[in-house]
Amino acid sequence: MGEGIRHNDIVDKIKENSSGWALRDSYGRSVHKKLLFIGVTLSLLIVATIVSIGVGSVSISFIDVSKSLGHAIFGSLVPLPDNHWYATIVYARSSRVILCILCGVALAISGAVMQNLLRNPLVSPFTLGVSSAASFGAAMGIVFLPAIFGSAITDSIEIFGNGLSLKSILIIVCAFICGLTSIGVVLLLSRRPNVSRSTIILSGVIISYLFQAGISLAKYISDDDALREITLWLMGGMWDATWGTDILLIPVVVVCFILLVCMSSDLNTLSAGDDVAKNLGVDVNKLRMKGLMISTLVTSACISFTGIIGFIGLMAPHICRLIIGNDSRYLIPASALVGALILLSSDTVARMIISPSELPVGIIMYILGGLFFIWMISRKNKVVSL
Amino acid sequence: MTLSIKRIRQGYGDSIVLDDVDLDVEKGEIITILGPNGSGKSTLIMTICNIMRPKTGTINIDGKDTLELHRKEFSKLVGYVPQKYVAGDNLRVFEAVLLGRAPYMEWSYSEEDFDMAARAIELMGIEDLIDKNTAELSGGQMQKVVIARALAQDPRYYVLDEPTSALDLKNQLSTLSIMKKIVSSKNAGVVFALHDINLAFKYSDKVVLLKDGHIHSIGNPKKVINEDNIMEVYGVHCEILNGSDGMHVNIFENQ
Repeated sequence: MGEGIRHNDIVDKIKENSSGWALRDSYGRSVHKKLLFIGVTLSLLIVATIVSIGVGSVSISFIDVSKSLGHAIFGSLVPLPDNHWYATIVYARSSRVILCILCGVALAISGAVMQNLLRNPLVSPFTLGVSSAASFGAAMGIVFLPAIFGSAITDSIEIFGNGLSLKSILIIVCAFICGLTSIGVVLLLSRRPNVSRSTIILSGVIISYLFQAGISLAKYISDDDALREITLWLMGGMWDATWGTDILLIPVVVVCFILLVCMSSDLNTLSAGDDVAKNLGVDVNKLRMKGLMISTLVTSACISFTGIIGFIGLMAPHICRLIIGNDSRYLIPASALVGALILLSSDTVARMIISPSELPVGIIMYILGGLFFIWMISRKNKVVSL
Repeated sequence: MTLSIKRIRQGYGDSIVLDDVDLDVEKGEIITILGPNGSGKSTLIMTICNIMRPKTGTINIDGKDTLELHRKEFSKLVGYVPQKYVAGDNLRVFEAVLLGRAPYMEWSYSEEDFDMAARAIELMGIEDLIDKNTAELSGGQMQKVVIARALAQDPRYYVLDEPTSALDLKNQLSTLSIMKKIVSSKNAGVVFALHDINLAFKYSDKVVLLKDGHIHSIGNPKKVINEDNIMEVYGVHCEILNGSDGMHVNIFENQ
């Protein structure tokens, strides 16, 4: 008994006398927690992927989907399911699942990075006007392209074995260019020396209003068919998913993800404030410029294909900040996984609710995001700060 | 071994805040910058810390032109403690202190990074706080964390913009004493911007009086802080008292 107490005393003394030990301990524990969270989210995402592929007019069991996927990835090591044609369905449905994951990742990482760069927890690709601008581009494309190109617009082009109509490609290009324009204007306005963070956010909001006026105009002058098309695009959905779109998007998302993760040490330093970050060796203006550019690129690339999908860029990083804190080195990958998980689950639900028809996932995201937003601000002073 | 500022001109846009400022900071020396609001104290400090690039002029450290150094290399030479800490970093205290190691790290922290941060935490006496969220800290605790971050940075010169503004009397004295200890133990140079003339008296080897972006007078505190200079720079009357524990400044209301 007495010896036990003495032993504990010694351990306490060691702890007391060495804050280096305590520091390493705290740091180690926090890293373990972060890695655990990332691991759990990754597993959930894999489960969600398999479930999502199984859902549809022909429903396929979890095991059969796993076998088909395993066969596709590992070859003959994993046997095909008993119904061989399942593999074909799994292949076809995977394109949509992958598009969901790519969009979830893209929107979530841009949200996380933009929040850090502008040190404002309520910033997302949408606050900066990227989505309104992209919508404007798409709406203009839908209304004016048929008039410009005539009947040639309905021709389709083969991309990696999948037909994409010339019209949808041009709409994507329009949305993409306008999305980039919005951030270009924001950056131009914010290039002046010593511009404040609120100026950047404010210019995003203003640009967003300008483009929304443009969208209203496009809706007003469009005929019934075009109006329906615009409305659908604005709702956002995954119905255009093909392997062609996936193969176009995968390199963009992967490269932007890597570039943003590489910036994460500097993003962490930025959380101490612009002045301190500059003193600690971060070129703050360059970092902000680069970060906003990459996030906009990856966002507009994705929403060009899917239409507007809101709130992922806000929700995913926030959930991660609450659980694992603000260290960007872990926050960006964690947000990516959570964003993919939320969007994929929502899309699966959107397909199930009124099956065999489907809801646009954008609507579900708005409901989910709205509720999340209300919950977030009703927590009063517990809003996650940066 | 000096940090030497020569003919610095600095400003925002077209307005000039500092004009033709020369200053030498020796190692092992505490320099206090005094001056009324708007005299250019913070601007001078931000220029020394490479937060603002000077419009003209040079900053040399040990003979090297710092404006040509890589930002991270400069960070290892001069550390900055801001007047306003950023509230609600939402970091743990240990993460906030480890940020000071940013100039040394690439992707992950080395053993040396942990050792330096731990020593800084010990020196500031904030061992109990390391697991706390920075948003939960009091103003005084936060100030200590911010200073600990600068200590972890391990620069050769420390520049502190009103380090005592958020602190109560006891913590003001202990913070300045800690800086004094660092000056002697690490042979570092320290620049303070202070509002409190009595603290400047007590803790500095050299005092700089700034007025309208020019150096009004510079030198030993006993020489620089006198009734005439205070009147000229601040526009207030004062008397200097010679107490048993050093000099005191007694300020009168203008009549």
